[in-house]
Amino acid sequence: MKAKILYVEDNPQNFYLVQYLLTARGHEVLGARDGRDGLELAARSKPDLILLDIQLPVMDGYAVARAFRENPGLAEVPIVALTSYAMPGDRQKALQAGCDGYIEKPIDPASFAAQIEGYLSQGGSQGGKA
Amino acid sequence: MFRIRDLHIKHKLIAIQLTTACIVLLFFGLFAFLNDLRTFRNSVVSQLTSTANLIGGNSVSALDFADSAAAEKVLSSLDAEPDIVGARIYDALGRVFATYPRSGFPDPGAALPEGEAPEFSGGRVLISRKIALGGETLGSLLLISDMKRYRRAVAQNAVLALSLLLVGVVAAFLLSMLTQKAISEPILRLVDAAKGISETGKYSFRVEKQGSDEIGMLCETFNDMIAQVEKREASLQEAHAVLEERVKERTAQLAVAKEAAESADRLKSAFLATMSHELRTPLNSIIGFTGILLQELPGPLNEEQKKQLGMSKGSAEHLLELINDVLDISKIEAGQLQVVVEPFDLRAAVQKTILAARPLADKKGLALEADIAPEVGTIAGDRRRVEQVLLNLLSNAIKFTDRGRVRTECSLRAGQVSIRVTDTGIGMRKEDMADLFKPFRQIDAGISRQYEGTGLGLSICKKLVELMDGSIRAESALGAGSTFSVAFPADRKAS
Amino acid sequence: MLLALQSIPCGSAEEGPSLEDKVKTAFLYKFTKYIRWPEGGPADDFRIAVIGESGILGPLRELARERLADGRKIRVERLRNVDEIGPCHILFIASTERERLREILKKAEPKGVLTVGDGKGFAAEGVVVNFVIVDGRVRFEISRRAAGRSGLEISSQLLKLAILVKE
Repeated sequence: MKAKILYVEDNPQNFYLVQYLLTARGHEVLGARDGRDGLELAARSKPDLILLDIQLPVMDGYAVARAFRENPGLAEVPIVALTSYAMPGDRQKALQAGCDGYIEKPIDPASFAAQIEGYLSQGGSQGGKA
Repeated sequence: MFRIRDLHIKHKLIAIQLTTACIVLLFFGLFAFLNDLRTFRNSVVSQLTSTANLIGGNSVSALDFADSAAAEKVLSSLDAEPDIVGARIYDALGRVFATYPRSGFPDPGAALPEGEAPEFSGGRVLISRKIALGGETLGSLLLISDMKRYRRAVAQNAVLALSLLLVGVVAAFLLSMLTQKAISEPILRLVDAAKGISETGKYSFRVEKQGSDEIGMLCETFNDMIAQVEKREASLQEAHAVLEERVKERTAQLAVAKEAAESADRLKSAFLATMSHELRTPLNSIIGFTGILLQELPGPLNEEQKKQLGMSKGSAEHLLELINDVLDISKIEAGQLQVVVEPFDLRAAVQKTILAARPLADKKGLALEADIAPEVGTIAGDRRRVEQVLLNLLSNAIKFTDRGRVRTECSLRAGQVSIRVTDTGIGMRKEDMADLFKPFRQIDAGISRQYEGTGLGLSICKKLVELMDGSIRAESALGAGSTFSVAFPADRKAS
Repeated sequence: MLLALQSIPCGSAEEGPSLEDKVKTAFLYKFTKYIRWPEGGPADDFRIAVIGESGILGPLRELARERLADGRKIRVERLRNVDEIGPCHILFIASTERERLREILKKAEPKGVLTVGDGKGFAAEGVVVNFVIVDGRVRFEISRRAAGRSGLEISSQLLKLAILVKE
């Protein structure tokens, strides 16, 4: 099914990559360059899934995730973190911030879309694990 | 409980003196009394004896001439002796010749004295004397004396002695109360001084030494001791102050060093995080886009395009591996790598990893076997790292095997997971196995050019396995293949 | 050498000596124990002279046979007259010699002779010791003055028992 996915990412190449992969599957991808924009956009457009790059400028990804979660209107929306999985505890932090899962960068272009669709069907607010 | 030891010195001294005095007084009192008794008795006896002798002597002629009247006259002189309650003169045949008093002569009872010795009986003394003249026994004299007076005198004496004793005791008591001061006072003064010093902590206090006896010496020694303590206190305070200073210095230094170390750590952490992120981001694009292209999503590709894109993607993936290895080893060396403990399906993880290695094996025409024991199921650990280690071992096994198979065995026994990867590859020499798990070491630089790899793989495996509280080892024989065994607890939390 | 005179003019051979005489004899003997004769008396036997008639002779002679006086043998002499009075220790003057008493005494004293009388009032006359009968009992009188004159020492013990008489 077609879904509206909000992708908060400041790197244009990364954005282009994800957008291409997902639109190839028929989904719509909205983009926000930072947390603030993302929150705004989410409130306006009610996405079916939020994809969140953890390494964001200004507002760090975890804070953004928490901010999303505070919006009751987005309670059912799954939030997936994109993380470099660099440091110990990154995983925990993501989950604690309210993410439903995470995908490691660099992404696997062959399976990425399927992973996203998996999260879409699982639902939000930590309905499933990575 | 009353203990003699716990009495005050004052009381002890008094008690000692009193006891001694009492014992001495008692002893001598008793001695004197008994002596008196003896003397008294002796005097009574001697008096009686002399009386008897006198009377006896005086009645010689009366007896001789059988003049009983005269004899009685002699006896009547006994009126002057109040103690004498009776006397009798017997003639030579033992018949009563004269009696005193005329009437009421006391019955001597059975106690008639034998010979000249006095006989004591029933509160009386009886004495008998022969009356003789010129060797011829004319008769005998019996005198009976009452002991009443004697007894009274003895009693009086006893009372006197006792009262003297009491007076003596009282005197001793009073005296001892006075004299004990000489000992107890200086001691008490010392006690007070010691107490005072220990309470107030003022070591400048000194005790006044009076007298050169042992107590005086004690006072002197005490003062010396206190002086020493004072000195020590002072030097201790000094040392303490110096120490405080040093501690402050050191603490400051340590704080600075800690700061530096922590900031170094933070820098390291930040560096690694940044590097991780920075290195992966371009790779994201490379791998991603080549992947999209290879999926022919934007459009179809010809063979040459596919081939070249494939090589690019492969290289990018290889680069990613290298980056991951380097980052891993950096993290491990920096102590920044943590191994999680979470439940996961070990069986699924093993199967997935073998699956991931299948393309590599297929390329070389090798068989990939899996033998997972039935009890292997969910364990608690780090799935990612377990997969990483297994994939590394499988890659190595496939890399160094040209024909045959690579077999993976997984079992769970007594809380320990065991994974063995056995290959039918070229094997290793004993000498090469020593440095197997060390970083950057590869077997024979010559071969390494044939086989790709950073040389970090096995050392990372070893570190990861150790972080999982496990162990890894290798068995191999040149030309006969190798076996790598990994063991770690199925539930790290529980161990 | 004194002769032991046998005859007893009292004609008392059949009667035997009376108790009184025996007692007196005994007393006489006892006297020797309480009296000290001065130096110079007869050195050999202890001489008892009897002058006059007295039943005491017999018992005296018997005494002489049986006892010693003053550690010496007793010699009893019977004197017939005053002239026969020689040195002796005791001179017994029988009651029969009342008439010649003064003469006898003159002869006897002061030669350290114990004059023993047997008659009433003899002591008052100067006999040292004189037997008397008092209440049926033999007692004796002593004249201290006569004793002093005779040079004899009489023990107070004896004096105690005696009836003291003044001359």
